[in-house]
Amino acid sequence: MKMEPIKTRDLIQLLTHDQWQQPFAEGQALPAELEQLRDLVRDQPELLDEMAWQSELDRQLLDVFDEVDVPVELESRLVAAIQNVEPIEAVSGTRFSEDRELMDEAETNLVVPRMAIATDVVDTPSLLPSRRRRLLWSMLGTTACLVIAVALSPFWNASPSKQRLTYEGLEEMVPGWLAELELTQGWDASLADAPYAASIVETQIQGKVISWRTIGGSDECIAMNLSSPRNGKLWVIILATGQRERATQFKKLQLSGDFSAGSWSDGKHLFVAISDESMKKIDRIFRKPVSV
Amino acid sequence: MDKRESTQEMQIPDALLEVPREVDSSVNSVPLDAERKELSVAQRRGWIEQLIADHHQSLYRFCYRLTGNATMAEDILQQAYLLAFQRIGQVRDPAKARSWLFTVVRTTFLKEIRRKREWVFTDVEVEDNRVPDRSSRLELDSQRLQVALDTLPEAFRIAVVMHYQQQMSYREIAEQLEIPLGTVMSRLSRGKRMLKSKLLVAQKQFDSEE
Repeated sequence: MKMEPIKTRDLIQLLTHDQWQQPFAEGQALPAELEQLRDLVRDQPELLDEMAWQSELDRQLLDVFDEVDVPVELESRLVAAIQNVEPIEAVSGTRFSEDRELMDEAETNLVVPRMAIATDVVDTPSLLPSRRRRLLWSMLGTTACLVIAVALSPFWNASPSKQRLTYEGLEEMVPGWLAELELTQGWDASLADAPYAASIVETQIQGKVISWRTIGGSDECIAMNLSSPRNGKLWVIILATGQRERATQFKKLQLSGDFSAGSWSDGKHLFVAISDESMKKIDRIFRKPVSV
Repeated sequence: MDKRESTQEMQIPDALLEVPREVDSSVNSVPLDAERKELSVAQRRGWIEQLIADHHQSLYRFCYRLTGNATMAEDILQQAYLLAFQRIGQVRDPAKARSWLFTVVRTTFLKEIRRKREWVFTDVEVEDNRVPDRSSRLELDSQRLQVALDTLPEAFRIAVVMHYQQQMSYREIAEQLEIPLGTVMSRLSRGKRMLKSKLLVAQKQFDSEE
């Protein structure tokens, strides 16, 4: 799916007024992806004023961004934390160059996995039993520190970290969802097994749910399939918001390609309808007319 | 109707999140260097302590802008340095250690916030329509900036912090996050616009209350 062309108001955020004045105004080439900005400025000279104002805001932001007080004892606390742990290789008790096989095993366990965190270091290497014991005891120290940190984590903040989801965020997610939605495998026709009753969708949307599936391998995000000869391909994604929020009206998402999508909320769930029909038609999937 | 009405908190699976899959792949892709593998524990400790001395301040500021919380920022930084200590043998080029550390910090931050995530829908477009005009003035301080930053979706927040605080271009951000240039441009431009919008709207409210 191609990306939507970047909007003018977004384009001017990517180049400062100073950059525009020099050297780009002196005939040097703009970065290719910003070439459309040159045409826009030629047609709308007032954009330069807008760019100058935005750049002034950028300057203000730059001045303030680094104004963060660093705790006085931070460095010593970090050093102390490091002094309390042993590196995994060292506790194996073997010099790396002396035991090629062991080293390879240790290295295998040291490869940083995707989204690795410090707790990952407790992955148990396949070492000899005695070495493994020493390694585990040492790692227990590291783990204990981390467990304490995790145990204290509720006190970091009175409220949990919030994942803020926006229409723009949804627009970025849809292509990833489509990859799973278009799979023929993974759909379950047994609606009784679904985390949601089909009626949660059918009372709002014209059509019948014929199957459901999880998205991303988790039942926290459920897709209902309402595809039919009449609807064409039609799926509704359901995300639980976990807390009661205000309901939002249906809003079309800006996608390019062969699919159209829109989102709305009933206050407890966020719904995203995705269809291969034209954008004009997606609002017609509702039982009651909606303003789009 | 809803079989899960009693669910109070939603954990969003990683696969659904449109956040960069940024892990220090630069490190993964670098073959281990023979000399580094020979580092003694004391040498490793010395190196990591040097990295703490050299970079802890900028890394802490980065953590703080991402989290908006001093305690959480310090804890993430500590976790990141502990991880770095364990992986330090994989850093072949010391000149890249700083950039590697920032990646470790960012990764640790993302993992941490996913543990206690709560799903909140923010209607950004509505707020964008309230952007004051060009005559608006902005009195900015660190706290106001942080309040506005905290409201940005994390994918946007990371791009914005990398841009303003680390002063990275969108090309550099794309390389660091290993995501397409177009995605960075989109996140950065929208993130900057959202941030300015929130700050200006807050300023206007503040002025009207005075």
